Amino acid sequence: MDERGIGYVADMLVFALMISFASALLVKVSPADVRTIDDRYTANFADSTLLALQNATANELGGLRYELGFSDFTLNLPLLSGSTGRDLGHKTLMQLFVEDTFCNLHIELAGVDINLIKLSQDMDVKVRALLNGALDRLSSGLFEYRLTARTKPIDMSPVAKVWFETKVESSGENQQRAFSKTITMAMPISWQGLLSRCQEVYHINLSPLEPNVAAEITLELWPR
Amino acid sequence: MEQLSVGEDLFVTISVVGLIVLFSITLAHSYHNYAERRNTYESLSTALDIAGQLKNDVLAKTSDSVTYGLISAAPPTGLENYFNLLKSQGIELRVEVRKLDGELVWSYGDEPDFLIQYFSPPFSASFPVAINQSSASRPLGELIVKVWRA
Repeated sequence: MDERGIGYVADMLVFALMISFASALLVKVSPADVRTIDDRYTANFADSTLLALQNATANELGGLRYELGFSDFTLNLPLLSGSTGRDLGHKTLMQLFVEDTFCNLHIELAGVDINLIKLSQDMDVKVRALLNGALDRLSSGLFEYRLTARTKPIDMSPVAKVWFETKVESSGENQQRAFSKTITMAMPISWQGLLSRCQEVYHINLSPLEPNVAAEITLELWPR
Repeated sequence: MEQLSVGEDLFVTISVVGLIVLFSITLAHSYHNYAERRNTYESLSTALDIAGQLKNDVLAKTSDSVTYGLISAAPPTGLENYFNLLKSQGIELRVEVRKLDGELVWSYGDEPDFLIQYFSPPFSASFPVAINQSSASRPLGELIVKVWRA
């Protein structure tokens, strides 16, 4: 190969290098990571789901009716008194979820959770089944979910904490990369009624709780 | 002018031309990928923006207020203006509201035809909503927004 041939090869290599550099730049300079779009969609989806649950009524999902038994403890709500069958289908799904939260008292004594009977077992089971069904259909195979409502824990003594909490979740495994959205809702039931019922059932004085106690509702979503 | 000899010179020429073609194809392919990703990102981003505006503003308005997450059970009057506004920017869309069982509550806008689907594939976004049928009946549903370039 003469000198001219070597020159051609050198030119060719420089050209190839420039092309490779330009290609690499184009590959690198992507307008957005795919994750950015995924995150934006998931954030919007979580936001929409929480808003939809705050507005949708239970009637359209088969309603919510539960029976009171003699062994069943229930909140002493004026709306519900006078009947053993209670129909809450007119309430929104989120109202039912928050009411269910206040049926689930949790106590932690010296770091150990104590299982308590629920204030209304039948209502708890039915509300959770209703929300599970709704969220399964809303997420339509795209997301796994966990919907949690809880109040702030209150220190009753140096070793005892109490709070209200309930949870509805899908059956899929959790992933590290989850998106969550939290809203706060005021207690939808009579404060005095709740206090007296807890004292009657659990013999616990909850008067240190603030009367304007609110539940924090967190929806976590992660892709299937 | 020197004579081209069948041998080293021809080999060098063929190699140079071959490599130039190869790297040109690589460059074109890279640009195609870049343009495709950019187009996908912009289209999805537009679809999300439009779905957000519809969900939180255009479809959520009642006569005197806006209820986020609750959309009307029939196409509202402001929807046509919104469609026209987007059309003037070269954006076409179709809006569907369905119940959870798939029943169509209402839809607005035409489906894109075959040619448009080929040259400008539509992108869609769907979000959960509550449908305001009456004060006592607000079923869960799905807002589906399909967006494409005219």
